Amino acid sequence: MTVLGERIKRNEDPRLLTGRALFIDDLDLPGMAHVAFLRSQHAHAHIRGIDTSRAREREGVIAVYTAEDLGDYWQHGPLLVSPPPVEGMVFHERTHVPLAKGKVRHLGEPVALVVAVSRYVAEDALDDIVVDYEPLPAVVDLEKALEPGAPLVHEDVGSNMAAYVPQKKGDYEAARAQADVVVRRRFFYDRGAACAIENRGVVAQWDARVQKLTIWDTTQAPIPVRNGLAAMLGLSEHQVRLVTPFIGGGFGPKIMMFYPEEVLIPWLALKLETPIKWIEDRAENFLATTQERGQIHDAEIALTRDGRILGVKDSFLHDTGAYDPYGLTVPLNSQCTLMGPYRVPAYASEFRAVFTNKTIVTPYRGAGRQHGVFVIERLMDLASRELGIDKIELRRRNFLRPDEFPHDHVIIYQDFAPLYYDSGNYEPVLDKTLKMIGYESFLNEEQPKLRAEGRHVGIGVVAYVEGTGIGPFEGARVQVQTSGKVTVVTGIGTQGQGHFTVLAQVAAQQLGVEVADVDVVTGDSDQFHWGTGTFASRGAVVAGNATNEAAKQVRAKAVRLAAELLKVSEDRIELAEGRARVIGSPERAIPLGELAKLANPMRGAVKPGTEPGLEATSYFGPYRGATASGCHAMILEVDPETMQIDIKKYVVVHDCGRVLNPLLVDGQVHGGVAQGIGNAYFEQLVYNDNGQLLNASFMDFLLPTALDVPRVEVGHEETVSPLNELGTKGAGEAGAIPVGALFAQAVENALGIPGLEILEIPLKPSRLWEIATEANR
Amino acid sequence: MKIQGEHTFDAPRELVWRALLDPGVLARVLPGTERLERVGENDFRGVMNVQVGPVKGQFQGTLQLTDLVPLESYHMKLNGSGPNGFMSGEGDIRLADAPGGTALRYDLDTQVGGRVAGVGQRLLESSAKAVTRQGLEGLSRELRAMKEATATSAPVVPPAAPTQAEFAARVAGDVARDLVPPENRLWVIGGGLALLAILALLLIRACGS
Repeated sequence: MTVLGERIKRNEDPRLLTGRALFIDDLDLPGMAHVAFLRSQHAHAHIRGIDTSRAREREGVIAVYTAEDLGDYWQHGPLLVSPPPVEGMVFHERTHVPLAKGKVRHLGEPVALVVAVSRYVAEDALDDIVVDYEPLPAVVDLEKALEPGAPLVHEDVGSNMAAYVPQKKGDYEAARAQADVVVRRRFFYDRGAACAIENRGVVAQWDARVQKLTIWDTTQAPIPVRNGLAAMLGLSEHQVRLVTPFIGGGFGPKIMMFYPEEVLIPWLALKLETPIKWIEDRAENFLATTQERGQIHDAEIALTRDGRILGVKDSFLHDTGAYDPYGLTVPLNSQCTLMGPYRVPAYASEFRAVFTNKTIVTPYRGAGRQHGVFVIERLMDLASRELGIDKIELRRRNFLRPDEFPHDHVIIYQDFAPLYYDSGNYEPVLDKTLKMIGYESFLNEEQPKLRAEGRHVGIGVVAYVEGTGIGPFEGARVQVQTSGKVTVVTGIGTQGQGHFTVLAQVAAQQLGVEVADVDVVTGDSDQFHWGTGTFASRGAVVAGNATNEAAKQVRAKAVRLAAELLKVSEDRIELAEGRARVIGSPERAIPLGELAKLANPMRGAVKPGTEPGLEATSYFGPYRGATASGCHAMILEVDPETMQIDIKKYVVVHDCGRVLNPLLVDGQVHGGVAQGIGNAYFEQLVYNDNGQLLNASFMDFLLPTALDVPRVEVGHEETVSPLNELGTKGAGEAGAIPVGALFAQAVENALGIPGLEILEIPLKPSRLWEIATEANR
Repeated sequence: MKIQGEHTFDAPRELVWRALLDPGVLARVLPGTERLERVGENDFRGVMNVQVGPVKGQFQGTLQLTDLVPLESYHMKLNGSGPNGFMSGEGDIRLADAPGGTALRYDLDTQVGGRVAGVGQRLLESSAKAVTRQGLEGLSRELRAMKEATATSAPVVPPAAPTQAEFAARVAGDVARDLVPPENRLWVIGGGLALLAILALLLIRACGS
C-alpha cells in the first residue's frame, strides 16, 4: 500500500468546513480584558508629549501604557535573522520597539495602549489620548532617501542606507568584454500586503497558582516565539506554553516577528494577572503587519550572438521600511533567485537596503524571489528580441542541463550556505508547459485568426527556480496509541498548508495505517518544544523528513516486538491495515494498538535500555536547501481601449521533487497564482510624499476576486532531491513567484505594439494605457 | 492637496475683509465648525466635525493669521487633529476689486493624514471642494445680510448655518456630482430619491406598527 504521492483529501477540512476549528478570536476566557493600540497618524514625527489622563478616567478602562510606562521591559526587539557572512557587507541593525519613544518612524507604529473591559471601551479611550506630534519630513522615495541631506529615519546611522551587500561569481567585466550583445534596463518591482483572510491576534493568560503563562498567538514560528518571550519575561521556557490555533493564512508576515503586540499582551497578562486579548482589525493590518514592497534594479545581461549568456550584472535598491528586524532575507532572495534556471558563468550583484518611513518589510510569499525572476525573465525576453532568437529557444539554450547538477552558484544564499542547486531537469518542465498551453497551435492557428478579428490575445511562457526547504531543523514525535491510532507532533506552525494531511501520510506510509487514523498536532509548545517555523517553503521538506525518520524508528520498534511475539524473524513482519503481520500469513497478526499496550507493560521488568511504548522522536536538518523549479504559461486578452484583461488559460508545471500529495501541491500553486495575479495587476500600496498610505482599505487596495483568477491547470514533474530521504522539495511559493514576469510578456504579446517594453510590476489598466500610448508614439 | 480658486462676492472689500476676520461669521460659514474662538489678536482655536467618505470625526485645531495687509491679503496657517487623522495647511487669501464686488483668491497647500487619508482618499479632493464651495456660499449669504443691515442700519440677522445633516447631504451631493458623469446624473439622483422614498415609507411603517 502506498499513500505517499496519492491525491488524498485533507484530514483537517471536515473540522474547518463545519466551523469546529478553534481560531484565535474564538477564545473567550473568564475575566478577559481587551487591548486597543493607539497608532501613529504620522509617518515621521517627534513625540513631544502624550497625555493619557482623560483615557485613564474613562469608565471601564483598566490601564493605559506609553513607552515610558513600560520601564525595563521597553527594549528593541531581537534581530531575527543576522546578516549574511559576505565580504564587504554593511548592515545597520535597527529593530522595532514595543511602543514608540520620542519619535515615530512609520504610519501605524504603536504609541500607546489601553486595557479595558471591552474592545469597545478600549477603542473609545484611544480617542481620549492626546499626542503632541512635531511632524518631520518623511523618507518615502528610495533614490531620494540616499541623497545627501535627506531626512533620516535613524539619525544615528548617519544615512538611510540600512545595508549594502555585494556578491560576485566569476568575472563579469571580462565576460562583458567578450559579449556580442549587452542589454541593459531599469526595472521596478513592487509588491503589497499579504492580506491573509485572518488578521493577527494574541491572547495570554497567566495562572499564578501553577506559575504558568499560556499564549495563543497567530505566529508561524511558535517555538522561537515562546523561547524569546520566556526570556524577555524572565520565565523559564517550560513556564510558557505557546499555542498556535488554526490560522487563516500566514504567507510570511506572521513569522517570528516579536511584533509589539506579541511582546506586550503576555507582559500585560502577567502584570495585571488577568487574561488579555488583542485581535488586529483590517485597518490596523494595513499599517502594522509587515509588508513587501519595491525594488529598483539597474540590470544588464551579456550574451554571445548565438544566445549564450556570458554574464549578468545587477545593482538594486530595496525598501526595508522603518526598521530591519528580519535582516536581509528578502533582498538576498532577490539576489540569489536572479540567475534563474540558467547557466550564468559570471554574476556581479550588489544591493542597498534603504530605511524609509513606511511599514517594516519582511518576507511575503516569494520573499523577494519575484523581483529576481522578473529581472532575469525580462532580460531574457529583451535579449531574445535583440538577438532575433525565439524566446523559448533562448531559454532552452541557457537552461542548466541535468548533468550540471549539483550546480554551484558560488554566492551566499539566505540560509548562509553557498547558493547550490541540488538537482533539476528544466527542459521536460518547459516541454510539458508548452504542450499543456497549446503553444504551437496558439501561435500558428488561433492567434492569427483572433488578430484578424481585431482581438488582442497573447501568450506568455516564463521559467523560474525556487529555493526551498532550508534548515536549520524541525523535529517530530510519532506515537502509536493503544487505540491503534497514531499521533504525530511537531513544532512547526500551520496556517492552512495541509500539514495535518501530508505529515499524516508520511507516518501512515511507514506504519501501514489509514491516513485518517493519524492525528497531527502542530504548534503547541507543551507537546513539542523544538522547532523553527513555517516559512521558506520548508514544512513538508523539513518536518516531513523528521516525521518520516521518527515513524521509521517506531516502525522498527513495532516490527521487533511483533517478531518476538509471533516468533518469526523481523524481516518476515510487515505493517499493514493497522496490524503487524507475518508476510504470507496475514492471519498471524497483532493490531498496532495491542503492540502499543504490550510495549508499555504494567508488571515485570523491562530489559535495560528499553524505551516504553511505540514512540520515537527524530529531527531533520538539511545542510542546504533544495531547489525546485517550474514554468508558468498563460493566454490572455487585453482590451486595448480599457486595458482590462481576461485570462483565457493558465498553466503551471512544477517540479518540487517527489510529490507527497498532488492535491496539496495543486492547492498551493492555485493560491500562489491568485496572489501573483494580485501582485501583477491589482495590488499596490500607494504612499504619498508624506508617507501616508493612501489605499489602506479594501475599498482601494484591490485584491483579485474569483472573477479575476482563472482555473489553473497544474502539471507535475519529479526530479528527486538528493538532500533528503523523501526526495522532496518545497512548493509553497512556486505559484506566486513568476506571475509578474509572465504578465509582462503576455501583455506585450497581446498588444503587439512594436517597441512596447513592460519594465515594471504591478501594472494596472491606467498605467498600462500610459505605457502603451507612449510606445505607440 | 492644493485648494485653489476664486470667488466673487457681491459686497465691498471692506465688508468682505471684516467678515474674513470675524470668528463668529467664520464659524457659521465654515461647514462642520462647532466652535471657533479668538485666543489672540489673530489666533483662533476651534473644533470642527469632518466627514470624508466613511470616516468621520472631530478635529481640534488652531488657525493663525499673519502678514495682514488690511483690505488686501493675509497668510493663514491651520492645524487640526483628531482620532481619525490630522490636517494642516498653509496659504494666502487675497482680495481684489472685481466688477460687481470683491474677488477673493485662495491658494492653500494642505496635508492630510491618518485614517481620513488612508480610507477616505478617493473622496478627499471632492469633499474638500464641496466644503470650500459651501463655505464660500455661506459667506455670500452672510455678506448679503451684513449689507442689508448696513443699508437699513438694522442689526445684522445672520442667516442660519446649515445643520450637520444639511451639510452632509450637500457634501454627498457634490461628491456624487464629481464622481458621476453628467449624462448619468439624473439617473443617480432619481435612484437616490426613489431610495429615500422607500426608506421614508419603511420608517413610517416601523413607527406606525
